[in-house]
Amino acid sequence: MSKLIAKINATKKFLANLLNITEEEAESMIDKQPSLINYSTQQVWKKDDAGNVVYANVIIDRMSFYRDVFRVPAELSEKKFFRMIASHPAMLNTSEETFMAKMEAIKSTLDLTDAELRKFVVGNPQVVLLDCSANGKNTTIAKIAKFRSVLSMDEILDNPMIMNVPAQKFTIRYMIAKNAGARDAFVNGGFMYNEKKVYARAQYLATLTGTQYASSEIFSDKFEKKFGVLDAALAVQYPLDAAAIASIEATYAANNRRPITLKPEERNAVL
Amino acid sequence: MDKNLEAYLKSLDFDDEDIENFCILVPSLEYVEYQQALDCIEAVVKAGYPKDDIDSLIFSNPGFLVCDPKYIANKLAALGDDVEAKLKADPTLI
Repeated sequence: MSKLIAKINATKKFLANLLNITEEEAESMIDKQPSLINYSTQQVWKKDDAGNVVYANVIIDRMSFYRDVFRVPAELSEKKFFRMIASHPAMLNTSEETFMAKMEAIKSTLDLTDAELRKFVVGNPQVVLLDCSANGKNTTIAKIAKFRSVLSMDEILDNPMIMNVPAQKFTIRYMIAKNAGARDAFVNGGFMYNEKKVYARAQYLATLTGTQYASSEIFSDKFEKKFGVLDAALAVQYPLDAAAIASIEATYAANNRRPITLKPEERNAVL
Repeated sequence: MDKNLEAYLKSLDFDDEDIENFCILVPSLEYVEYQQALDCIEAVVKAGYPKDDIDSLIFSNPGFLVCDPKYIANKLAALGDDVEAKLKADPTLI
């Protein structure tokens, strides 16, 4: 046991120094990706194929690889690079070959330039760490295909965190926002909000007369305070039930060229 | 995965594929105890993040569920005010 603890402590120190983070943050990386302790923390020398003397340390090699991929520091600052790796320790556990294969799959399927691809992945490294094939409904490429029905590729690239919306909740959240006149706010972060809460807020705001508000306020963290209401109470007053969904679909159809009907799995995810 | 944790994630409307993806991103989710994950969620909610929106936070950063809850609490305390807005802008802050 003491050998294991010594290994964990050595890995913590190594990661903390490498990424300029605290040992607590390094411990958090190990909590998420325990296999990191299997890698050497020693900086051993070896010769590469050309006879040059280089470091033989998998983690350092991978960091060097990612530096090249993401053009650090020319395009991505060292601080943001370290932050990306520290937040996504699975990147250190992914081989260069696998990572590049996934990058290429995303690039060719979505027809991105190298710069667009780098921006997309830096904004949300999870998109490359998961399955990048076209199979399955929650894979990166399948999700983008779904989101592209209402978002432009530029909007997705500018807001890569939007990829973290569960696929079966994206459409209802989008429709509620669009109906409320808050599409831009949805794309710029509103997608993180629970659809029941946002729907209830939008319904409540629609009843207000003589009060100035912006439609984007349905996504405000100050909503309850500003309007003197409780989200829990609004959700009871304006439930997102089957009748509400039918109304959302009807309103959307009346105001947009292409109507949307929720698929059964999307409906089930909400009801 | 702890059966109770799996049931909890499914109660948030995550399906088997979502849960499988979480475990790819964060292998230790296979072993974390349900109570520890709950304690991490409680730390986040206590700091001001709305419980209603916890599904998006988990989807964006499933790794926080396996952290030490005290570490989560300390990280969030260091954020100061507006924890909800800050975490929604960057879920990887924890």
